[in-house]
Amino acid sequence: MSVTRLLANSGLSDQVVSLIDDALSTQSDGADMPLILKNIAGRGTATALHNDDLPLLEAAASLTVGYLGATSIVAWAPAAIAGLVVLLYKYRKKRLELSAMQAALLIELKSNGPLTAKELVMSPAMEKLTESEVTAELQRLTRFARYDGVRTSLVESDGQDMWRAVDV
Amino acid sequence: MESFYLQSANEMLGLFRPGGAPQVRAGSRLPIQVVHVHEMAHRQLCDATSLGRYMTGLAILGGRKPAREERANAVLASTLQQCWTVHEGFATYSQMLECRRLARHDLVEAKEEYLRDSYLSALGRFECDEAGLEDVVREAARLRDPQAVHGALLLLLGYLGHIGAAAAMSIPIGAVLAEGPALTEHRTRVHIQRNAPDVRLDSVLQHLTPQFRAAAIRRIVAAKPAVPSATNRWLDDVLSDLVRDLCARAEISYEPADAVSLPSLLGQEGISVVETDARDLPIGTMRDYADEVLIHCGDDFREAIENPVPLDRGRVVHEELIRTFGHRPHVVCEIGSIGQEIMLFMHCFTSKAALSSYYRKTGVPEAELRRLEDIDEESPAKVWLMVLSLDYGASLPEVPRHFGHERWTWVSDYQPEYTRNARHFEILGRAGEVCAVALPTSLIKSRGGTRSRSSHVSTMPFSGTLFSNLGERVLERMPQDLCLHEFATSDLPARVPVVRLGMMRSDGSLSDAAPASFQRNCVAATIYQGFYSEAYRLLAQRGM
Repeated sequence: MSVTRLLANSGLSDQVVSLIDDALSTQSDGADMPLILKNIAGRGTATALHNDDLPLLEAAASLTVGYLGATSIVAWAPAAIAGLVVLLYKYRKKRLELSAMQAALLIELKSNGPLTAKELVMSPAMEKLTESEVTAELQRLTRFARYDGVRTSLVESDGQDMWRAVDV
Repeated sequence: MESFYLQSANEMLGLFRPGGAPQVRAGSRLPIQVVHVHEMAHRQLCDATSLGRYMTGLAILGGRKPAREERANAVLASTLQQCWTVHEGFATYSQMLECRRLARHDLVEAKEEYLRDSYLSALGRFECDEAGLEDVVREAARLRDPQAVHGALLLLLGYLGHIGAAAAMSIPIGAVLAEGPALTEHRTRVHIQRNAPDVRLDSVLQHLTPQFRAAAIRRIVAAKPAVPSATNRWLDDVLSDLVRDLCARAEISYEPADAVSLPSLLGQEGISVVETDARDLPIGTMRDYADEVLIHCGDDFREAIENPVPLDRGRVVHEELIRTFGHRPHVVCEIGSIGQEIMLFMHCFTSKAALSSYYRKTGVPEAELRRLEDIDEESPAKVWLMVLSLDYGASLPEVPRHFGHERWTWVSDYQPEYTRNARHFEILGRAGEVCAVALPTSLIKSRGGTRSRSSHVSTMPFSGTLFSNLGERVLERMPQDLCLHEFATSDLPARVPVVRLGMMRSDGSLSDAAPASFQRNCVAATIYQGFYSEAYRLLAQRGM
């Protein structure tokens, strides 16, 4: 099964699938607008997904689709959906099994942190959560357990309820 | 172990960062003007819509305040996520129209071969089937000049694409930004997420019906002043009205671009900027703005700059070109000093007829010949660029002798400030009658980046129609425009001792009947491709 079909089977649109494809094969900080063509010159990079990684990507896609249905946003921008899938996949590759909501929290903090829990629940992706629920998730992310049990810190607080992402 | 490969794709041809000029890499598969149009479409949306102007503000903040760069970039990236489809869809749509304008139907038909799926998908949002365009075609056909119908149709289609994209990007944001420092505030980001252009696009496109398209075109045509206007305000106004109408039909909020005040936004960050209302600028000024581009020339050119060919070696290559093609090409030379070195950037052009003849003799594929048929007779085809090294002050007057040309003509005057440098003055003084011209050349390879025996000679891809309008405008206002097109020099350290002393061109080289417009196009192509500005950039990178 191709990667594209795998992603499409999870319920993601073709456009989101192609954007995931882009994100996994291109190094970019995302703040520019490049015109990138398919490589026919034999130069450049290709992202390989080994068999072992396919379930990780599939899980990332499924979690995202489920999360989209649970949020109150009428529709998400395709690139935002792709960003969520890619973050979930990359963390799974690092042996960190985030939930979609935790990934969404990290994206918010990366883009606009440091933020308070009160500010985080303003985000469309978080608005069905209460402040205390968000705070609880943030606390979990301060000592997040990898598959092998080793704990790592994905967010940190300044002690004044201002949270920021660490190494996202 | 079996591997599954995602898209292998990293040929980056162009780049746009809000607030900057489009950047294009020359020497790729696509003509530079096609890539330029793609990047210009991004700039258009950033200039003409509320969200675009907000993004421009973020980019300026990141560029001017190093301490805020990381944050500004993160917010800009996040904002771009919300409008990626609108931006890339419209840019790729504009790119396809430019391919059609250039009669490069091959690039339209083969788009799946070189566009990534994400761009194709975004493009698909903007394309409409022919049935939906009947009224647009009919309006274009009402124009009196049959020759203009095709161009008019493409122009009108471009306006329609702009209306759709701008409607999606014209989100209500002014009130949020007016609440206080807001460029990178979370509340602004949340607001943009709730008004994501990519989500708005769905509603917009549902209402960009054939009926709306036809009505829009009629309004644009009707709004056109009977007497040519000095500015494009009339066009801007009618397009803004149409964008507003489309938003109303789609039942989404609309806010014009000027609801976002960059001086105010950036002033809160301690950055002073001055805005100009482009709607009231002369059309010529806006064309110059539209032509602005920074061109990167790739590794071949870098090597050529750093290892210029001695004049004698250049002559050998030049003679080889003449033997191969049996006639003299048209040449435009840029002459400049880089530190103690004088360099001659020798751009060799030929005509459609000469290229066609060469193709037939060498048996290129039929498809290539057919493509050539679509190209204007007066389009220059750049076939060689040689970077030659001249002894400081000594050999410039000898250039014509080296290349066996009878006459050369300066196409630009040097700037008065150059004379403050005694050595520059000496060189130009010696140049005397050097009026260049008639570098008879020819081509060896027309496409594909193959090299001659000299490793320092780069081939350039066939250029197609190159900015005939630009050529006319450059030459009618010489020499000022030549200086205008020295890009980005102000960003360089003051101690970089680089200057373009002047340009000269061969005169009537291809044949006695070589049309003046062809010669102008050659000059325009030389200027436009900005190789000399690339030299500046490379030197700046080297810290000179």
